[in-house]
Amino acid sequence: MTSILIIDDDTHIVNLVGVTLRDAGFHTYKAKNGLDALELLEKSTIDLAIVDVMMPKMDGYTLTKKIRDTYDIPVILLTAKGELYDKEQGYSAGTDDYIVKPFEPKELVFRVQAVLRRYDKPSNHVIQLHDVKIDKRNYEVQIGKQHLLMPMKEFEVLALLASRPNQVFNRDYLIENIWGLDFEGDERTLNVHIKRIRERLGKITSTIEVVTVRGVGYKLEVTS
Amino acid sequence: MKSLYSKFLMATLFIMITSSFIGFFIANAYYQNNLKPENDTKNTEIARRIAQYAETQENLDQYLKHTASTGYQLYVVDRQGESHSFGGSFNEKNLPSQTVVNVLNGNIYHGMRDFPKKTFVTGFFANELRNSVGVPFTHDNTQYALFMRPNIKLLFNEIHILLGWMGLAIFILSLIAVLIWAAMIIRPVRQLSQATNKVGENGFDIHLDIHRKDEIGQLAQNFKDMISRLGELDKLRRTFVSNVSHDIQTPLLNIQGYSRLLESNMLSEDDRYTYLKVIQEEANRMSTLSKQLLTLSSLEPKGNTLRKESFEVSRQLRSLIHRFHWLVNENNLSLTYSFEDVWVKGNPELLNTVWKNLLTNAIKYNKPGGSIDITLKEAHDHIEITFTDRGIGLGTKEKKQIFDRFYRADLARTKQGTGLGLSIVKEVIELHGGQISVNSRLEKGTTFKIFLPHL
Repeated sequence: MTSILIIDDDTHIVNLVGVTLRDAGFHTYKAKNGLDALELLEKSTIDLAIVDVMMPKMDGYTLTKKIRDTYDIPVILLTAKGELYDKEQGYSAGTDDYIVKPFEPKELVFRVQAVLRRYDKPSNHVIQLHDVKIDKRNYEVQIGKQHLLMPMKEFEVLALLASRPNQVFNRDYLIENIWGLDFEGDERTLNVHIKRIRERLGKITSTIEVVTVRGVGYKLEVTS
Repeated sequence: MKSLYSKFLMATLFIMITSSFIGFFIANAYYQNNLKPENDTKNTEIARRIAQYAETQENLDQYLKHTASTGYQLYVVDRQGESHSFGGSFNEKNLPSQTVVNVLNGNIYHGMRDFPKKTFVTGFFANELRNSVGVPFTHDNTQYALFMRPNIKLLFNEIHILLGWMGLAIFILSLIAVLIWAAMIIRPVRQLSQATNKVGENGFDIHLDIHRKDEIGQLAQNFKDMISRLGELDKLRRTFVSNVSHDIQTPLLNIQGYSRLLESNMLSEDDRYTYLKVIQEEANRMSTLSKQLLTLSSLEPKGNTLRKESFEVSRQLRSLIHRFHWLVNENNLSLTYSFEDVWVKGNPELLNTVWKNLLTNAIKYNKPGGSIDITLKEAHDHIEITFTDRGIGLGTKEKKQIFDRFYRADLARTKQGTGLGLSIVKEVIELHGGQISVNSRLEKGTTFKIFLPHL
């Protein structure tokens, strides 16, 4: 199970973040300050750290820098201020993303998952098919100057198909890889996703096309 | 309080007296320097002719009497000092004897020309022997000196009276005219003054019966315009306050009501969940409302207070879009954007609020599986930003009102919102000297287009 370390001097925030992440299926560790956090990191295997910016003893930027220096795990900063210079400081300290308080629980989970996925497959971040660029780091499809953001699941289906163009993926393989083995949705979910991907791509490009292979599954065709 | 009437009257009197004074002074100066010598020359010539003619006359007395009756005062004196006056005697016979001798010796006396200059006396009317011209003549081998001046009293008496009456009439008529004229000015001023008093007491429904084309008419028109603007502002303020209190009261009532419902132990899980959701949403709404009211109030003192800096607006938009990717995902939407790298001079935080409001609107009022398109283009003197959604769209009537504070097209209030978002957008854009327009069709979607001056 993925373990997440939450560091904040405010117990309410730590609990709120903890509950939200546990509900989403993560294991959580809690720390009140930077020193406790570094101690915990030494003892346990942790996959991601959520760090509050304003903390006594050691502020969030310093802690982020220390974590990044020693461990290869992503860090998300929690900040009350949305100012630009804060963000710059955060990114230069090595944070992967930041969340502005107050935040929606759903936003938190989305960001955690996105950052984790980015770390999951460090190779081939970018798939380039002629003028179409599929960037898995920020979940963007780029065609020329046009950028396209789509729902995560649709993007994942597209990225998977694009990883081996012209190869047929069967439906079960797609569902297993995107939704997991314990997927309980019905067969039509994949159809709906494929239909939407087609609609969305069709509007901006004709270079790539998702083609149905009757009785088997789908493939991504590249036309030049 | 000194009335304007008395002020006008005093001013008129003052002007009349002063101008008569100055007028006389100027006329007198002209008379002394130009007219007096001329008058002297003219009369000398007449005197010489009378004298010339007198020399040929049999009866000197008869002749002189006759001549005098045509409008002259004559004074004749011989070497023995025997003198005769014709045509009325002089008031003052103040002629030095040396002068008489000089004239008897054949010189001409220019008493009119040499009459002493005085600032406020013309000398024209002075009935003095000194103020005459004198010529010599000989009759019956006797030498005489003839002193002559026009008989002013005889010649000009009626003119005097005429001029006197005219002056008096001018004086009185002027005063009356000034009073009437003053009344014409004072009446509308009084009306305006009364109207201003009424604005305080009776609100902004003021009727002013002043129709003039001069400055006062203009003042009255400006006053009417000002009152109607004030009236509109007052109405806006009232609706604003009542809207705010309504929008604060409603969520509070809901929170109170639903939290009380939650006290009961007999609730099903579903109900409990529904009630909690209501409380959360209402708390969110109040939080948004207070934030937006804060933004609005920071916009109030328009102009100088706006802190501006140059920043890359394309980068700001890109970062914002990725910030809201989770919400796009949540609503099963897709979002396309194409940006040119553009810098703009403005307030980054306020403009960020603008993009955020437009983007969240595009997400909120979209359809499942719908799409959003955002573009940023640069023209030579402005930048153009569009937010297009394929959502529920707006009706013609709604389109006109969406920028009004607290207006919500979604009357059933199925979506979260305060009705302040777009009014903030509009105010911020206008504060930056830009424009915003909306193009929308029901069930087809909405496009907001923004023009911002470049730098």
